[in-house]
Amino acid sequence: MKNRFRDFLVGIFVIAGVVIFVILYIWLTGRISMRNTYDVKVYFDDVSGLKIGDPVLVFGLEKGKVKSFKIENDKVLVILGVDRKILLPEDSRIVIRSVSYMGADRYIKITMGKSNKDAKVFYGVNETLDLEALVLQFDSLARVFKSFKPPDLDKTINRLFSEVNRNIKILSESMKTPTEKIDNLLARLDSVTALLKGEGTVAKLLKSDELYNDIKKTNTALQDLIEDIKANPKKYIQIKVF
Amino acid sequence: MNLFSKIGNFAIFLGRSIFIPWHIRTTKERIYEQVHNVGIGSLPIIIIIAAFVGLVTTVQTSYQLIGSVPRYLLGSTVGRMVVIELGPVLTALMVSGRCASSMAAEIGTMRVTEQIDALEVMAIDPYRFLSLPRIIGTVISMPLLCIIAEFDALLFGGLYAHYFLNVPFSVFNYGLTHYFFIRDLFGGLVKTFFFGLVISTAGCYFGFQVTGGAREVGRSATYAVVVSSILILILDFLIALVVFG
Repeated sequence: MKNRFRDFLVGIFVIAGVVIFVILYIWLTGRISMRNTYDVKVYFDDVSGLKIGDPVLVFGLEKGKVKSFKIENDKVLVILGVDRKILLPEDSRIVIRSVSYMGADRYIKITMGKSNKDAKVFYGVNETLDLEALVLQFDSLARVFKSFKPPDLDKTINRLFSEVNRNIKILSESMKTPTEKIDNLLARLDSVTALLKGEGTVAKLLKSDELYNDIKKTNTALQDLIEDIKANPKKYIQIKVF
Repeated sequence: MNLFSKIGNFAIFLGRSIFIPWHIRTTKERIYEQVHNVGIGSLPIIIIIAAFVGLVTTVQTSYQLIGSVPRYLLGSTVGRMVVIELGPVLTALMVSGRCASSMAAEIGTMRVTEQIDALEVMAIDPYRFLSLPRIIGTVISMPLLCIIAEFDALLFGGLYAHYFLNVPFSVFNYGLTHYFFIRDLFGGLVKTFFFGLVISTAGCYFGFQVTGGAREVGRSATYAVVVSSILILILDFLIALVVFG
């Protein structure tokens, strides 16, 4: 009798251990919260970084989890367990995002569409910032910079300078003839000025007040004469036919 | 020299106890008895200790983490610590303290009172009759005790965080499940098989080694606990290296 009771206790102990193991397994793998969910199939081209158990956010609230992955026809089929109360319109947008730029943690973001029809199969986009690809792009850019040769720039600048030099030379050459002509003109002007300033006839004529007064007097006398002629023409002009 | 010969003797003893022809029909009664002694006998102490392990881990982790990292990391830290390390090792140390000493004392007394000689005279292999059921019983009991201890510790840790640390159970649970790898749970359980093997073998080995009287029986019980505890920690390191390294 005692042995039977002992065996019963041992049986209970073993069964309790196994049951608690199953409960612990279900608890720790996050399957308890998957009870009130339905499966949504999403096809992605690339799911790098996504793990089973990563959260599914609807309006920023966690409303499901990633359940499993499968490769199907060159695409990755991700099965999401989504809360039964959340029905997804067929034009909903499903994307994979990073929790942070540096971390490897991902989440799935669902933006609800406006269609009246609900769907359970979607095509998603991986919108995570691929830091590695970014670094590779920078690397190729750096390589382009490295392959750019500074001597080419030097040559171009030299050529440019020689061109400019040549042009300036041509310009100065073409300026030479007009300059000579202007010089000659200036020399002539100088001689004329000297003539006017000197003691010659022209200079005297220009400077003489006497001549000016004489011319003025003559002018006045001439005006008087003309007026007199106009007044008394017969005094001066006598026309005789016979 | 002495140490090496003792290690050799220990290994030979383990081999003789395990690799021995035996029949489940004749041995199962004694295996049940050992599961009862080791498993059910250790259950109360394991439950109490695991509860306090969970509480202490939560308090200490929150003291070190809260304020500098998101609160859900409390759940992941406590969870992984308990599942990977504290659950298996503390269970093994408790079982070693409780059972390795009792096995050594029991078998040592049988040795001193010449009951083992009597078994041999009756053509009953003492290794099969005494060691094997103890080893199998302990190896069966250890993972079950460890699972119960882990569940207990996490439950108490989560409840403490919920009621006293202002970390809701849902947040604790998020951290616990989000950063959990199934390898952690199975890695911890794999350890317990080896711990069970070491505890029972040390208990039986030091019992069989007794020569003399009551004083030697007491000393063998002490040795059994000391050696099994040391072996538990060495094996813990080696298995961690293989599974998590």
